[in-house]
Amino acid sequence: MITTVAIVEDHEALGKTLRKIVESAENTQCVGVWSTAEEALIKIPAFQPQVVLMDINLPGMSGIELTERIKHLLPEIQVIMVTVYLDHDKIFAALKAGACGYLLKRSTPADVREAIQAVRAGGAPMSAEIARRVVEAFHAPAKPAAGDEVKLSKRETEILELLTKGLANKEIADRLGLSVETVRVHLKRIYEKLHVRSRTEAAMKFRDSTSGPQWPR
Amino acid sequence: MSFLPVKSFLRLLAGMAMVCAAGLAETPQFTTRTWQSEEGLPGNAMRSVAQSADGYLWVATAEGVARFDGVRFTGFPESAPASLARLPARYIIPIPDGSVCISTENAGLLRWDGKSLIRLLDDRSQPNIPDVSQVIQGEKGQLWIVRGAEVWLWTPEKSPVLTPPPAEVASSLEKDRLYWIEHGRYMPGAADMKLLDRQGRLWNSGGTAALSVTYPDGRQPIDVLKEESGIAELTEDREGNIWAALQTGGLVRIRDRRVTILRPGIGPTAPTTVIQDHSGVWWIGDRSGGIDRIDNGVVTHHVTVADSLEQRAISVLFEDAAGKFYASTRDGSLFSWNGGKFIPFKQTGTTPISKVDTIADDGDGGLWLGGAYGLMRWKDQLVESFDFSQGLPGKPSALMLGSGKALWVGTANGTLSRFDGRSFTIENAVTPLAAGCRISGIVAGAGGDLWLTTLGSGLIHRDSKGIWKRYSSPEGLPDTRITAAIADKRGDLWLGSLGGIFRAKREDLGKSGFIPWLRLDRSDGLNTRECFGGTQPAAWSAQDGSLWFPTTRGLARLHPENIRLNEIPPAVIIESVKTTTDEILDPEGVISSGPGRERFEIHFTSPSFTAPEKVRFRVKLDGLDNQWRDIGTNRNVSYEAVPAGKYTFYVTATNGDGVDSLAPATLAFVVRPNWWQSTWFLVTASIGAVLLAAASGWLISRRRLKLRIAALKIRNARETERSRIARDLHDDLGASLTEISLLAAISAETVPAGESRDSLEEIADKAQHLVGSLDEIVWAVDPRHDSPSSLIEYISTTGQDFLAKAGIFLRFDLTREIPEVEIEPERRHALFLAVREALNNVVKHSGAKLAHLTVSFTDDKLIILVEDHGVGFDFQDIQRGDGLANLGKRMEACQGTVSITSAHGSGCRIEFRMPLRFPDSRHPHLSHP
Repeated sequence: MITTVAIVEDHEALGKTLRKIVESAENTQCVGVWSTAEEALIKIPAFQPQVVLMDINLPGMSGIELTERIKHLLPEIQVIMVTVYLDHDKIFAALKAGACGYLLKRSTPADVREAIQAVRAGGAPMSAEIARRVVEAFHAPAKPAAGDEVKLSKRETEILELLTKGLANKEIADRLGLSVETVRVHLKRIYEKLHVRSRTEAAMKFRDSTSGPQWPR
Repeated sequence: MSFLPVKSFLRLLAGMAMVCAAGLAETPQFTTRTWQSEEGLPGNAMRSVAQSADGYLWVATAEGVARFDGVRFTGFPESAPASLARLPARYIIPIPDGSVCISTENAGLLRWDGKSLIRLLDDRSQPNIPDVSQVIQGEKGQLWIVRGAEVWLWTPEKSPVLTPPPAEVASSLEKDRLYWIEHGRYMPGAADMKLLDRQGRLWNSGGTAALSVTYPDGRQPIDVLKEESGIAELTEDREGNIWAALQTGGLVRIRDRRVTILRPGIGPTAPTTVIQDHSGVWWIGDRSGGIDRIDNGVVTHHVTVADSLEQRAISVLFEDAAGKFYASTRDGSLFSWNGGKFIPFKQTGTTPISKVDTIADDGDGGLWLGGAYGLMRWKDQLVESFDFSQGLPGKPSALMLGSGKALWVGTANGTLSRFDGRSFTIENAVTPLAAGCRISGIVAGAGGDLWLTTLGSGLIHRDSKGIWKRYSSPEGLPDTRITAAIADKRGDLWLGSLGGIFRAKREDLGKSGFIPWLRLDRSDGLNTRECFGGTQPAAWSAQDGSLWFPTTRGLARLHPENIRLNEIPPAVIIESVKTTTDEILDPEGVISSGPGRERFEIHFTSPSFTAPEKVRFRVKLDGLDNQWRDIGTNRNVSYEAVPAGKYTFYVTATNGDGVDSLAPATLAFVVRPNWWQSTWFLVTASIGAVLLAAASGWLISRRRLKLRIAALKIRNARETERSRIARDLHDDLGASLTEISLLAAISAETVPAGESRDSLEEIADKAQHLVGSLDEIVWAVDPRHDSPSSLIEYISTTGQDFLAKAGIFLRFDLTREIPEVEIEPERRHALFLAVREALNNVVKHSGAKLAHLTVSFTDDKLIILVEDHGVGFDFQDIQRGDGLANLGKRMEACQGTVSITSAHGSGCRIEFRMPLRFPDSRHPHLSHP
């Protein structure tokens, strides 16, 4: 089955190279390389790629904001953030916005292809630093009013804990007696929960700001 | 039910046969394209269309006015008064000075001069005033305006005055009125609407139903449009395209087809091959093994294999020197035409005569057959077979009889050889040029030239001196997958490909470097860009000089001498410039920006209408890159982080037929230097310092405060500068290095193992390593990382990568209680290097497979512990010059300490301690003054 991939990258040459990489794999096909978020926002709904490789720093609208908008429009699209510089805060913000993985631009072509396969099969690999942020995000006390609060399952928490200790997916699978595929599927769930949770938080904030006393004393 | 398609099928065939019976009058064919609101047209109810002096096509619809460049419709900018911009327009009246007048319905006359939209004449004061129908330019910027029976004179200085026109103006107005009546406009008082184009053709709107065209030679008028919507206006642009503004159906462009598509069959029976025999009979092979024979307009259909479930496409049709006719099916049998039927070849001897891809005469009354079973000579019912054991280098895919009855043999694996009847002589120069791609055709040019087409490696040429050269993407060949090739009567070479039909002129062939290719594709009337072929003969030159290419969607026919080129040089217009802070529409003069590094995004266009998607642009920013850069069909370009300086931007366009702009569009830019780089700042700053000192003499309490503010400012400036350096390094250098690394890695994957692959992999590794080093520099200078949490994160991430390369796992135990203090860049970098050295020691000397990194904090110290359970060492050994000896020095640089515990066989434990300095504000006695 062919996986269709779109690339949003403002560095033109790099965009072309990424396209070559995507096209070098037999089962992936590049449907377009767009250099701005504004353009991509028009083209992505038109081309409906399954996976988007998204530069985190775009001129104008950022990759993070674009991710949020795309996930809102087309929740089934898998977004992989691509970044030159390992900036965990930005990456984490993107994951909260709905991205399901990230890649360093200096990854090898094989890494890029693997990441695309990984998000199609489950979740992309998660680094210790990101895992730590995820744990913290879920540890933060939720608002009491949040009825349907999103929580991590026991297994998901276990996996995150092992990730923060620096274990790779394979080692985690061995230690918990799971297959690597299952670990990936758990990762996907974690990414999704993170996205849902941050969305609920945003909604809560909105409600808090609008549901104040209408007639202050 | 079933006879209906058969009937229409026959009618189509008959229609085609008429055309095929060469020498009949050409039926003009038009290709039309419609733009509606989905394509950006403001609305589908159109009123008027006209081309302005600067080349844009202006359209008036019930929903508003827009200008069109062939690709995009643009309305008035937001700065135009909304009350005017939305008025319903009646006529677009272009003024020679480049401005455009818009006659509105009952709301007067507007004018757009590229900057502002103003009302020249107001109708609203009185009821039932006719709309303005004409505007002509008078002297010194004056305009003469016709409204019903009135003539108004408008001058830039004052409001319009009802003025009886002088005699010469009156005659100009009458000339103008007659011009519009003949050029597609319903003028008040005119009976009908017509357009007389520059070719002398008369276009008529026949009331509400259709558009028809009458040629000057008195032929029967031809219906062009059968729109249900009536036509509001017609116009001809400078390139000769006819535009129809439909009353309710949008905008339609009508142009002459350069390629005609003939579809002899219906449904899936696409033609795969076509030839005309010496008696003028046409033979068309199709995809399901059938052949149409068209003799003097009479079509008969023949099947090669009757009632076969497995129908094979006709791959080759061939007429030998004696006039005998053959057909071969793909991966199937070979047939000969005998007694009105196709008779399959019987197998004689051990070699089956089938799976034939290419046929050539042998010059002695026999045939050469090439295909899956190698090369065969068939003569007098006898087969002689040559295969790999005789030195045949591959499966023949193209054959051509050369001089001295020698046979040129091109193979499916990209070799060319000469066969003299006994042995194959391989042309070694061709093999690397074809790079393994199938030879799809061999064409002999005039003067001893030889042309080879390949499926993937472009066109290969041997000149009369025997020198081989390849034409591919760098030479401008639009697609390298060539399926068919044929020379026309002039000697120009025509190529069918998977990306359209291309022509190279005879005089350009043989030249080196970029040569202009004419490319015909969907915009010229092709239904698809993909031409069938890969076997020989694939394309055909008819007796009347027309060329035929089988495509996946019908037979494409073109007349080389009738191909009209769009010779109008495309004008280039710079539409807008975006700087970091600003967006400037229709920029003029000098764009000044800054301070410091600036990003520019420049949008430009070229109003060109024949094939707007094929217009290509080249740009240059003098002062930054002094080379012209081809940016393809993109209509914008951006420059990142342009440093302070003066620049000139140039952009030029090339239309689809290779005609360049007369002159590039230009725009000047100035990026101002940063404030701290300018002299006035230094002077002001010194004066400020003197004043501050004077003031401090009598305001001691204020002085402290001011000094602190000044210190903060300097620090802020320093931090801003550090961020800027970090960002620039990251954006410019990082992206380029990454690209090198990826390109090298992906190239390495495509070359076979060997020395060049090793070096490519090495380049990829080195570039990747450099990106890593760059990361480190960026991390070290960027003030955003002046915190312990960033330090820990960086040490752990890079540490894990570093050890992973040596196959060592790194486990973390990092505290979550991280104090929020600032660590100066020098100190955090020194600590980072020290920890890196410790990890390096693990890699080099420990032999361990697992290491631990623990980070914790005491009240005023950061403690990092690196442990392994490897071989360990004795302390005397440290003196040998191990990196460990430097640890002390490194830790001194960050005012910290290091302690190393190790012994043979018990691993190694290195502990770093660095004091944290808390900012003053946290200091208790300051928060309680």
